[in-house]
Amino acid sequence: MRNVFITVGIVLIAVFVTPCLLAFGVRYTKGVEEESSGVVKSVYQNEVLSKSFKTDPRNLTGVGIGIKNPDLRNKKDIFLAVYTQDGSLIRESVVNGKVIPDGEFIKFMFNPIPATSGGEVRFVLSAPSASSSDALEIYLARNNKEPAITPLYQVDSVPGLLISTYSGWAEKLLADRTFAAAYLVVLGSLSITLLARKT
Amino acid sequence: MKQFFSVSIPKKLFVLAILLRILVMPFFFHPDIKTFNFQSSFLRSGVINIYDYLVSHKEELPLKEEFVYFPLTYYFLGGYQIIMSPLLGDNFSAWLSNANGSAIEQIGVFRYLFILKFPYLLLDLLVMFTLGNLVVGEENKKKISLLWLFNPFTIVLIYVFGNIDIIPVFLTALSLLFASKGRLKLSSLFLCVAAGFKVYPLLFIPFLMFRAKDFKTVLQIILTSVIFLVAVIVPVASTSFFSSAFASGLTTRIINSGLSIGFGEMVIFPVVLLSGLFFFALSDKRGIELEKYFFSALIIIFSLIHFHIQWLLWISPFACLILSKNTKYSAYLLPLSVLAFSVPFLYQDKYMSFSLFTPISNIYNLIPTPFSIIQRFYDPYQIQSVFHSAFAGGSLLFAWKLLKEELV
Repeated sequence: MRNVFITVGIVLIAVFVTPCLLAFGVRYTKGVEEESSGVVKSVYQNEVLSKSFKTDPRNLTGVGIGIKNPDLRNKKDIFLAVYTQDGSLIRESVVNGKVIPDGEFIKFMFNPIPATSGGEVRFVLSAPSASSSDALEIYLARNNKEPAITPLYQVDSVPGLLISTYSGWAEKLLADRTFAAAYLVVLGSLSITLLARKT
Repeated sequence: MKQFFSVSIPKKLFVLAILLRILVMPFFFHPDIKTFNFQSSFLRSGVINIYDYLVSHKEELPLKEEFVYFPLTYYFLGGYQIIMSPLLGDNFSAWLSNANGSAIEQIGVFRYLFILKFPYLLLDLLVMFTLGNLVVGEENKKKISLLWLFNPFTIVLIYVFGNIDIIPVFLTALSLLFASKGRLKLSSLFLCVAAGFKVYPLLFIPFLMFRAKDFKTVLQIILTSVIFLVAVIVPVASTSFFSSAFASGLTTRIINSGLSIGFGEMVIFPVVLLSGLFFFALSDKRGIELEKYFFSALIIIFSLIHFHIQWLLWISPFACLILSKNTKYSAYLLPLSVLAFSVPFLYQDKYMSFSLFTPISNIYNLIPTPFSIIQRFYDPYQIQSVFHSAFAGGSLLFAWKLLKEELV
């Protein structure tokens, strides 16, 4: 019987408690993911890509970008620079092609942009040491001009993150009403059978 | 038949086992379940040779992977999708075709995961019934049923990783049942049906041949196997099939681990030990239980090659049988199971750890993998190698002990 209690404990902890514990390991969350058109553009030498970011950049601590690097051919640095509206460089992040598998979502991380910052920022992607033959290819947004970018925000409150995670989970389950009803009825019926006393 | 399905544990424990599984099914995701279900969805459009289709349509398909399983997997999953399509709903095809990370955030993902994993629940319970029929006496039946239903390893392997391995696992357990009743031809047929899903059960065929009492039965086992496999393979036989289904996974890895002895030759470790095991079985006059041979063959492979975590399910029914007959083996099997799980946990693959929770929230995709965390302090490959080596040492010793004890 001991293995019954251990297994029940492990499953219950895995389903209900682990999501909470893991949330403490989350340092940033994703903003709205920008869909890519599937078209790519190479970045090398003077060929750069830029994008204005109109959303509030407060607590922004990185961006995620889809990059193609077939057979890991590029082993040079790619830079992401963040400029304010007046052109001042406020953040910079660098990733080496060696750690960019083909088609992966690559995170460019930097220190969070403080809450006092407001207004628009501009991202510029460049790889001055790469050549056209080993250039990294960046997935473009729907307009086929700018890179498709997903902002990453610093977590400012773990309890807030926990609440949003668990409430988001429940909302997602309940949004599929038919399935949620059937699933909860099955779970409920099995639980009642389990708890019912023999008469 | 009624006796086969008799439940030897209290009904409430049986209900509890089902409840636990239903609780896990919709909330964990490994991308493989989406990939092979996307590929199998083409059966609905009348595609018979999925290997050729995927290769020739690679450019236009959102998921570019080849179909690496054997043909019965495709027909089984494709057929199941056709039957379940009214419950899966209209958005299911779009969800399968969605190649970016947002697929897991879509409404309906819990429904899809639950329905796609539902056959696993039935097969999981069928394995329990089969194992119950492999032991004698109510107490032993109860013991093995509890061992199978209430061990966290199989629950994680079946419902968290969600691969199709439970299908061949059930068929190999069924094959063992027929072999235990002396019906070797039927037993080999079930191994071949299992090999129609994944190729590994073919490894067990020699053990059945060695059990045959006359050459005629050996010949019948060989013929049954060859005819069945040819019938499965012929409709899809093509370069695409051989390059997709044979050039990946077990079939190539098993011959890659070895030591060069010069002049282009290599001593292949798994083949050395498997060959030793086969010769041992050939000369076995005491009739060591087949599950010990099946177990030993698999543990040799896992010890000596880079394995996928879901492969560990293959060995689980045999481990449960061995453990139910001799509980002192838990001193070996428990630490070996933990070591076996810890090796893939350290792979540089986010879906070996925290990302499995992404149906609950996509924030779990943003946690660094254990590999990346360890990399900040030490070389994770070395730790992985130490775990794998410890697992190999313990496993090989255990396999030897299992077989040797029978000789004493």
